[in-house]
Amino acid sequence: MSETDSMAVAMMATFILLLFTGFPVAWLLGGVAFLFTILSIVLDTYFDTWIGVDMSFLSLIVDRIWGLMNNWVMVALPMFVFMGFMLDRSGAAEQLLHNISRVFGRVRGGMALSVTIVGIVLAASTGIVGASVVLLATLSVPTMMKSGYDRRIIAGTVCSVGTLGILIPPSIMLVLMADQLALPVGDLFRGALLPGLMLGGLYAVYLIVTGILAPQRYPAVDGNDKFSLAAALDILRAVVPPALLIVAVLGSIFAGIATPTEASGVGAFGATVLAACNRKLTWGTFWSVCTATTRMTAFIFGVLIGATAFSLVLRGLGGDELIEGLLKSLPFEGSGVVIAILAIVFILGFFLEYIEITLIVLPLVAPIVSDLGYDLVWFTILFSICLQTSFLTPPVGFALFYFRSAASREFSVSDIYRGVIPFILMQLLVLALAFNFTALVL
Amino acid sequence: DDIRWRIPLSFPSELPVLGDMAKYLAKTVESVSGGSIRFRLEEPGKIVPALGVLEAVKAGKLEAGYIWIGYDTGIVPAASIIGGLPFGMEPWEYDAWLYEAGGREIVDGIYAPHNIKPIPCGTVGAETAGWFRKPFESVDDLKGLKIRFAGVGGSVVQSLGASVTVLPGSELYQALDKGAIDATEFSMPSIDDRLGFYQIAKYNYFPGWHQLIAAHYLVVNLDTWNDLDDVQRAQIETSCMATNAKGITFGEGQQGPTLAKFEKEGVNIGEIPEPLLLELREASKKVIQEQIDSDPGYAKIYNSMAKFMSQYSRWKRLAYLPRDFDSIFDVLPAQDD
Amino acid sequence: MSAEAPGVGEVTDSVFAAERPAVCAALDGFIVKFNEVLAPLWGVLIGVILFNVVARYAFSMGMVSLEELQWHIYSAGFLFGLSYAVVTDDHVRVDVAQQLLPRRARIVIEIFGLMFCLIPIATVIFWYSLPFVANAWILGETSNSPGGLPSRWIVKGFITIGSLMLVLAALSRLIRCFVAFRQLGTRRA
Ligand code: NA
Ligand code: NA
Repeated sequence: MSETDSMAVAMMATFILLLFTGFPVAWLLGGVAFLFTILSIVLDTYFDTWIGVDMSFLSLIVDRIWGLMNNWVMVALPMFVFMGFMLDRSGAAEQLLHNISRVFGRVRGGMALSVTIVGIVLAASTGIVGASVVLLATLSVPTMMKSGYDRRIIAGTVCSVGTLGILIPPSIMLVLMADQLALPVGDLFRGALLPGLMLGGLYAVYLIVTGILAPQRYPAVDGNDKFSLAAALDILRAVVPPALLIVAVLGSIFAGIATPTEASGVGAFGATVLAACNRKLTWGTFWSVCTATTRMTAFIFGVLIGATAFSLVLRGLGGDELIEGLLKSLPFEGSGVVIAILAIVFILGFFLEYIEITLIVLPLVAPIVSDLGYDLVWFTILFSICLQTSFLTPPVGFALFYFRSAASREFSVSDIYRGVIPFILMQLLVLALAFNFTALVL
Repeated sequence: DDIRWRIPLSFPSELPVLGDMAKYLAKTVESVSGGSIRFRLEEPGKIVPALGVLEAVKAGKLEAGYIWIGYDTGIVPAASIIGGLPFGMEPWEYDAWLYEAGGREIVDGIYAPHNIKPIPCGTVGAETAGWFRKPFESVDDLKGLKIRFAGVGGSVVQSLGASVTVLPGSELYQALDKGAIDATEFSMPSIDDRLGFYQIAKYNYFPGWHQLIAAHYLVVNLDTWNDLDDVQRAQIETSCMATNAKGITFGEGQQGPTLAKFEKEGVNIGEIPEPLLLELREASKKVIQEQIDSDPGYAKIYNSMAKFMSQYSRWKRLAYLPRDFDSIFDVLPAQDD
Repeated sequence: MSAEAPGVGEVTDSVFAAERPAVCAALDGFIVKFNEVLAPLWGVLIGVILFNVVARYAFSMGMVSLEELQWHIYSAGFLFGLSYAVVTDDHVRVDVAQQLLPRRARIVIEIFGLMFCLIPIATVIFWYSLPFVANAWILGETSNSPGGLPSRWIVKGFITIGSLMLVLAALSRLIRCFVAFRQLGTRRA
């Protein structure tokens, strides 16, 4: 191993170790980049090595931030975030759940089914996992607990359904990926649609089937509201506007009428209009949506900036070639390499968040996959499905964190962990399907 | 001392012609220096953004970069005329101006205050005049047309009523496919081929009036350049001169087969009618005049080029066959061996 | 925990709940106020995008300057927001192992992290943004596109302002960590 190779390995190892100190990931990435630049300078100056990573090299981070700034596709990211928060804060999402559960409330397992349907609608209109999980948990958990649902079913359903938004377009994860790989955002959105919907459908089928096989886990609720015309109208009123918004935003992107940035701005506007129609648009709501958007955009871009520093220095140390060499030396055929990469991503997902994996790993592995002759859109979608599980896999699974913070304390860690296992298996099933049947994606 | 430079590119090394030149340059400089000079090509964005190469080299963050010189008009307004001019010079004319008529000295002089040594390193030939989804036959067809168009040519079509945007290369296919734009120009046919425009826009026009050349330069930080010894400087200059020659052969060599392929794919390869060309030239004249008036460096280059061309064009007309006069290969085609 | 849904739950600071010394209160207050005042810029961004969409689709007008304005606004939002997210402790942490540590250890980790990671990298960005902005100013750098916006130094200056605020936010947090650490020490004695 050359000295730069050892430095690259040491850099990655340092980062992974320091991760567990709990210091913010964004600044660890940037800090490790800084420390290894200093180390290279010291080695080059006093130990006669030729690593060639110095302060002027690190200063390229400013140029890279500039590149991030004048990237017009990324403008879509805060706009989709805004749209999500607006739907959340304006109560549109809450109304949706309330009304749909009136339809399914009296079916066996109906409440879980409603949560799934609303989760899919939320996913297709925004994609903020934290907001979806917290919303679904606060609104549905008390009712389901009271009706005597199995705790594992509740936890698994809410956590998994709440994470669908990161896969089903519009998705900020896919916007990030498109930027990293210079792929058209629209292609990724289109590619993720079917696998995402299949996943949601699979959840529903699972709930129905286990409801038949293990009825004791799914009580039927005696509904006290009778189904009436007025109720039906309420439901329509709650469902139609968000549905129209979804069709407008996704439709205009898929039909190529609008660029993703334009669609995101129009979507954000649409969500605001919706809030106004619900008489929920006060200056306070608008302002709280704006500050929430700033905060969330800031922490995503914090990681982006940290990762851009980290990958700059890692590249300077030849880390990309090292990883490429390692992956290429794996004793597998072409598809074996893809499977190996996905397996690594799945395992990384236990510890890292999707943003870090997207920004650090994806750019390193994509050229290898592309060299093997695979379609990058297809691979990126597989990568995304894999990353969606990272929200559900302990110890670092953000959906699990959100669920615990939002749901009552009656859920033990084991309830939650065991509850998500069947859902993770379903995700792996969809991953396998998308792997074998490329038509699902392309 | 051995030289190991990271050379960021302003285009992917996978693209035909442009990438071919970058790889050829790296290979040549290594072999002529016996391995003592090595360029490691860095894909756009890997180290520095594609359009930020000049700025990083200027600041001394990188020793050198390999770019189409015309990008950085925000920093060097004259860059647009150095990179390629509407209704301007052809590759060998441009090279003759550079090397024999004082062009290099002027270009050096313009970049010296920016602490940059610009080394001509690949003058390639004309681009296509764009890919259109509907026929382009008159100036009226430009009115309200959503088109992607970079450089001075962009200002020209904008002045004729087109709605000009500059999307990145990777977004063009989808934007064109879905009608977010109606037309796009990008580069030479073999390069556009890689981006797949022929699948969705069936009207491809010529001549490449907006840019008859694309001048690529190795831009080296001036301090770094001055620190090199004479042998190293000669090795780099020679490699660039060789790349320049290869640029012509890559560019000219690949287009014939590509055009044949386009025709097989059902592309209408059209020629812009002369009245329309005249109008485009008139509009270009106005835009270029504005730029001459606004930047002294631009004016200096324009005048130097114009003086050279006023003498050269006599030679060109006299010595070569008229453009539409059939050569021997047209009247005596290839026969079976 | 990350605040992927800020405002939905309470802002929980992973390290301390100690009250802020006056310096920190002033710094943090400035950063929060600055960002809160600018937050409605997202509304402006929506407006600009809408205007662009209407101009493009209804009147076949493409305006490069407005397209550039979009990323100018978005850049301001995320660059200034970086410091805001430090004050509100929104930046994502992997805190599984951390939660098992005593508070003292967590504060020490935070101090080391701030001193050797956040402050250095933010300072590097700040320091090297200065010539970057100065060059744009001296050259009167403009957009590369025809019809683009002039005065590139302004938007490049966002990097300088954002990273300076980031350094300040980190310093404020560092002071708070030292105070909390000392309080812990005295309490134990
Ligand atoms: Na989504
Ligand atoms: Na995980």
